Amino acid sequence: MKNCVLILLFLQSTTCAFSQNLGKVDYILIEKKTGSKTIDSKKATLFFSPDSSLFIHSLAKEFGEEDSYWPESVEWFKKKNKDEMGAFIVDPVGQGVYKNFVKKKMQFRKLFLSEAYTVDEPSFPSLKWEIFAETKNFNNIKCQKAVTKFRGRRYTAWFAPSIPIQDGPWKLSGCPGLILEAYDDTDEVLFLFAGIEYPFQSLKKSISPFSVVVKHTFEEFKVAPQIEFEKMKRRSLSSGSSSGVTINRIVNKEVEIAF
Amino acid sequence: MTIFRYAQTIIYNLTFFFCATQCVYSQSTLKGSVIDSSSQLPISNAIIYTVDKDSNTILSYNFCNTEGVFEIDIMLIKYPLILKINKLGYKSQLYFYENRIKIPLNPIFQLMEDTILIKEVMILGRSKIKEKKDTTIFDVEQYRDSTERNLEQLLGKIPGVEVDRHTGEITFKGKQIKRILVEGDDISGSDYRIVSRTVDPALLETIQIIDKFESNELLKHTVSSDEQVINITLKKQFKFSTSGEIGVGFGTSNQHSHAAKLLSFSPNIKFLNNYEYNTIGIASENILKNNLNLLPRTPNQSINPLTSKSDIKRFFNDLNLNTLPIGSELYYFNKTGLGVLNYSIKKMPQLKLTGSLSYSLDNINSEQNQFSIYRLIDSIFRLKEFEKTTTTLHRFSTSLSAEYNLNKHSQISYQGYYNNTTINNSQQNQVNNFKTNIQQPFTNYILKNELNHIQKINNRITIINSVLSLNQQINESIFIDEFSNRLWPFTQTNFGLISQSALSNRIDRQFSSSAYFGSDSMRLSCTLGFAYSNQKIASRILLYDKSHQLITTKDTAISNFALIGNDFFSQFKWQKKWVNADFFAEIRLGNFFSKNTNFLHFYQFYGLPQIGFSKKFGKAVMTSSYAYDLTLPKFNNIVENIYFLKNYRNIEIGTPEQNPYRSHKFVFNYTKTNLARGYNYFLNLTSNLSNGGYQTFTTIENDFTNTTLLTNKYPNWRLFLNLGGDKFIDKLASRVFIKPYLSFSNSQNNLSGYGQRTFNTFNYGGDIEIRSGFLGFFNFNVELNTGYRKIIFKKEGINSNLDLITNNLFSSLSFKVTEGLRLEFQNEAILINDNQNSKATTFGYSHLSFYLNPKNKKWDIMFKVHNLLNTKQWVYSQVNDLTFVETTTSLIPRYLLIKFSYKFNSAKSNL
Repeated sequence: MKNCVLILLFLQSTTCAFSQNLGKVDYILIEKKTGSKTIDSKKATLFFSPDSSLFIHSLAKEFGEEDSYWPESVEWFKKKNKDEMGAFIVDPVGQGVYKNFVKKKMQFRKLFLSEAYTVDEPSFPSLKWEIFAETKNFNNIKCQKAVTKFRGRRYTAWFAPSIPIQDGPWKLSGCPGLILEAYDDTDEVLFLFAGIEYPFQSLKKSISPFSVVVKHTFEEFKVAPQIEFEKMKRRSLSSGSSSGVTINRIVNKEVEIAF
Repeated sequence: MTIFRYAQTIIYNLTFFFCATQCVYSQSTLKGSVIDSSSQLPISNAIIYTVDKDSNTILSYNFCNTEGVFEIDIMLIKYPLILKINKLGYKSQLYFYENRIKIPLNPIFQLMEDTILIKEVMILGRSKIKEKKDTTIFDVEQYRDSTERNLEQLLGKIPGVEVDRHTGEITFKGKQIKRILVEGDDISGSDYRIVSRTVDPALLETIQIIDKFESNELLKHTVSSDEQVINITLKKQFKFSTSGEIGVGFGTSNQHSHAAKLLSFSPNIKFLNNYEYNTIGIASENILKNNLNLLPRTPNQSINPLTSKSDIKRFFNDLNLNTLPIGSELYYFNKTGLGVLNYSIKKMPQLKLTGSLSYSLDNINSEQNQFSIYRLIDSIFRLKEFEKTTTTLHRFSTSLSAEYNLNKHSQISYQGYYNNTTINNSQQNQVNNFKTNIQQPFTNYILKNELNHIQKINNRITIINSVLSLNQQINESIFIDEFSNRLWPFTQTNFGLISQSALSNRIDRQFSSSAYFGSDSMRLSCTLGFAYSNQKIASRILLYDKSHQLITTKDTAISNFALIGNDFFSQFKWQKKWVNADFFAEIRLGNFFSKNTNFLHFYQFYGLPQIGFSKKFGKAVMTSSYAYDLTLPKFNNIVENIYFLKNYRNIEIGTPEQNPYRSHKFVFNYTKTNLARGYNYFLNLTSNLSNGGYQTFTTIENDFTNTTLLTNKYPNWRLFLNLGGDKFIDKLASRVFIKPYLSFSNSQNNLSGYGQRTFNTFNYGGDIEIRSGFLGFFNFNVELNTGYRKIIFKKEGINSNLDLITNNLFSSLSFKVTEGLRLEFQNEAILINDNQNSKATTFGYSHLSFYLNPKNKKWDIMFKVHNLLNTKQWVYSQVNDLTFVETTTSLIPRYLLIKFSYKFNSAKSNL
């Protein structure tokens, strides 16, 4: 009997995942990096279904879209996304977060220099949101204010009760409605609302976890900036072109400050 | 046993009652489950929340687990409790509980699948407008209502954008648009009408308006550009596409209007072709300008060494009259053929080519009757003129601009331009009783070559070297059958038979080198250069008597005149940018002399210091600038009527200007634009005070012509105040423009033989324009321009006033009768009244058009009744300092035109 219930639950969850209830939210993701005067802004998209979602940005394939959507030209965008070694910090897979609210699974993919880290969160982050009565409209969608603390930052989010999913940009979730805009109180990380399409029919990429080539643990991810910098430094020194040059690391403040 | 059982029952009941009430009255959480109403299966991940009845905001919430079970905190809830259960894809359920007792224990809520919910939240959330630094982006789809036929008509619907319906000139927030780029590529130079009147809005994704735009990558961050441009981006399916339109139109009275346009776009290659033949009054100049200034911007243009004194002087001479906006096509009887090819090619990453090739042929016949009243201070002179002109104009031009990046730090670029214009003008004139017949062949060749080299030393230092050479040859020949020279002040007229030929050859060379030091926050530029100009004019006049016998042949005083000018110039400009404010200081210094082969004519030193700043206050921008112009001219001989052309400057030099010329010009602008709220207000104040001596008009006395001098005596003060507003009402897609203006000027003129006169001119009025529509069903555009002008002449105690009122009402009504049928009615009415003429002048015309657009939207059929009310003549009046002119012009009689247009595109997507 228990197995039957589980099978039915599984069927229910898969039915939901492949149902037509797909939507797309566009955000402008802004990360203010230490030591840089310019603000790095990029397009980010959340593809959502009732029980799972994929938040994605820095996806090389999407440059075509960027061209028509952004004030800057593609060239500008490419240049801006070049690191000091001249490599594009965009890749065909893209960076982002996959969430499954039924299986309580969260997986994310992030690039550190030229290395992609695909990591499973040890447990689905359970964010305790404090709800406020304050409301704000985004394109005539009424949103309510909620505040939470997550990984060293205090986030303010504006969620839409009329879109009943507990999802949001990046790892933010758990509000009684889709989060359309969120930002931390230092204004270093911002997810600004840029548009929503629901239902969204033409999803090319299925809402599924990232394909993992090299597995990284969550513990490795925590120290990834140091590891990758050391790797890059070794590569650059061994190439001989940088003899006599000191390579210093500018420590950028990551989105997640404390674990 | 019975008692025991009874007692047991009581205890059970009491316990149960106690427990149950305890459960209800002490429950701080509500526990329940959610199931699907049809399958009866639990729904995971549904949201349950309590809602505040007053603010309709969420108070507490939780989610169902995988078994559909939830638990929600209701400890602090005020009753009645409103509970909402929601899940994407299901219809939300709302429950009211007046008090705690009413809340059931372990409720099971059922949700029903519902697709209506999808519609409820189906939102196209892309914001209409995005603003980022100097870029404003409009999402095209949100401004289209399918009634617009080209980009120009779409731009008129966008907040902050204004399009002049006669000239096609576009402004945004009151500032002129310099060019329109297609996906970042300039394929039209600054004559953007070829793009704005050709491109179909259906191709477009966004319209981006970029201020302070610099197209050359190497010059960005060092050279400051003040250009505002439009960049249109194409929809994904049109980024690689070929599209176009073919139209064939026939009308009564042998009227034709045929057109073909072909646009081919890819990220690396873009072509724009436009071919047109019409006899309905649209001359090629209304489609395509032909001017050197229209070429793509080059690094040399950012140097701009020479003074623009002609602009300043023009500012004095013009009274900023509102010329009546009557379309010139009304009195044209024309045949126009035109072919234009514009292209942009970027096949290699380091090489960029843009260019154009155009040919036009115009045959224009016009007839005009003009009755002029020259109101002089003590007399009125009346002149009746009849003019019949036949003009045939051939024009061929080609341009090429190439930019080649040698590496990341250096670039060479070339710009070439060739133009050949041939005009054959035949004119019959009758002035009062005198008849004239003028044949005027004219040819003009222009060849321009410009070479630029940019070297970027590092990110903060850029050096530009430019070499410019320009040759222009004008060959003009005038044969005057019976000549009547309209001479000021009409006390006498001479006539004779004259033939005149003149050959003018001008060669300009310029070399300059500029160094720019700068970053985004501070820029300094220094330019040193040398310009050489040589102009030769050979002119000969042949005089015949009435019986066509040659009386004399005379070389004029300026015959074989050779003018050589050298100009050493320097320019220093410093700019500083703070967070919200820009400041700049600039000084342009130069000396310029010209001489002919025998003696020095003219020497002048000029200094043009200018300072300005621009500051932003939220949505408002305030700019202010002050310019001082000092010119020290020195003559050692009297120069008679030299038409000196130097880099498109026309300086007319008369008798020596003995006084230094000084002018102070102060400009203040305040603009407040909030595009999201759809308003745009502006205030513009210009004051100009000049000292010096300046002559505006001279002719030469040479046996059979007279001399007339009109000298402006300074000080001359002019003040212009212009303010306006534009409000965009989103829900009605309406715009309201209100533009009052006020100007005052004071000047003293000296007319030779007539002594000193003073002009005081007051000029005020306003424009009101309403454009509206109801979601594309009905659009109207009503424009009312009304103006009042008072001109006071003073001379030796005699005062004369002229009060002139002009009213111009333009209305355009457009009805979308059905999805495929539109009706358009245009009407223009003009009323002119003045205090010295009891009869008011009125004029009007009307056009009625039907547009039939079948379902596939590829065919477009237009049926037009031109000049519906069949006005055969119209009269208009024009006034300036000296004259009041009424012109009677014959109109093209009413005709009917039917035009079939076929649209195509390779993207296989309906436009």
